[in-house]
Amino acid sequence: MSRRGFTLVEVVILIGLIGLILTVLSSLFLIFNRTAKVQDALVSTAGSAGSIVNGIQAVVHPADQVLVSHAFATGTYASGTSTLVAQIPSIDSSGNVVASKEDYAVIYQTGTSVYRRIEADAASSRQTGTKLLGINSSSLTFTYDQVDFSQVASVTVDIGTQAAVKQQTFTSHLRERIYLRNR
Amino acid sequence: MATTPHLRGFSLVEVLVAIAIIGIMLVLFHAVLSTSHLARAAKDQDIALKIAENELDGLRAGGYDALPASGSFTDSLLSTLPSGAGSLTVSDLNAKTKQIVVTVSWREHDEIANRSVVLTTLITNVGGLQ
Repeated sequence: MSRRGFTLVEVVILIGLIGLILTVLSSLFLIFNRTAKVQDALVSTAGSAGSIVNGIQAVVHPADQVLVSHAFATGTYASGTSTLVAQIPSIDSSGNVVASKEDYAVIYQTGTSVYRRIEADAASSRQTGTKLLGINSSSLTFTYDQVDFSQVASVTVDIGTQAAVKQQTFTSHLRERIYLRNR
Repeated sequence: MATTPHLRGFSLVEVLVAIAIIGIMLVLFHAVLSTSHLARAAKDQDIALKIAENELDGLRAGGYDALPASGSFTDSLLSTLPSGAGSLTVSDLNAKTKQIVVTVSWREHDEIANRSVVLTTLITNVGGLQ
C-alpha cells in the first residue's frame, strides 16, 4: 500500500483553479452589484419623474383656478416657475362638488424632493396633508398659458430628474401640458 | 493487476449535473443583466404614455371643431425616445362624435420590432374646455 501525497503539478493546478474560480466569482459579484445600482438609478429617475407628473395632474385636473398665493398652515406659497398653488372645489365622499367650499393645494420643491400639500375644507372628503411626490428632481418648471394667474387654463410642467452611479449620470425628462378641467 | 491505478472517467450523470449547474448559472447571469434592459424599456414606455396622454389632452381641450386631420404629430419628448414617432387617426364614429386614436411608437436599441402605446378616445361636438 503506497501512500503518496500530491505532486507539485497537482498542487499548482489546484491553486490555479481556486484562483480562477475566486476571480470569476468576485467579478460576478461586482457586476451584479453595479447592475443593481444602475437599475436602481434608472428606476428612481424614471419613476420619480412619472410620479411627480401624475401627482401634479391630480392637483391641476380638478382645479378651478391657479392662485397667486395662499397661506397654508406650513407657510405661504406663491405661484411661479417652481411653485404652483391651485384652488380645487371640495368634493364629498361620493365625489360631488360641495357648493362654495374650496380645497387648496401647492406643489413645491425642497432640495431635490418635490412635495404636494393639500389643505382641505372641513366639508371636503380630501385629506389634509403633505405628500412626497418624487425625489432626484434636478429641474421643475411650471409655465402658464396666461400671465394673469386667475385666467390660467393650462399649466405646462417640465420635470427633469437625475441620479449618479459612480461616473455615470442617469437622467429622465418629462413635459406635460395639463388643463384645468373645472375652470 | 491489483496495483494498477484504477483509471476511470466521469460518469454520464456527473457530466450532466455539471452542465446543468453551469447552465443555471449562465441563465441567472443573463437574467440579472437583462433587467437593466427591462428598466430602460419600462422608462421608454412611460415616456410614450405621457406623450400620448399629452396629445389627447390637447385635442380634448381644443374641442370637436379644432380636431386635426389624421397624420403625425410632434411632441418635444419624442426626440428622447429611440426612433420615436407619433401619429393620430381621426375618424367619424357617428354624426356628432369622432374617434381619436393616438399611437406613439419607438424601437429599443437591440430589438427588431417597434414597440408602441395606443390610446383611444371619443370627442363629441358638445363640451370641451374652451
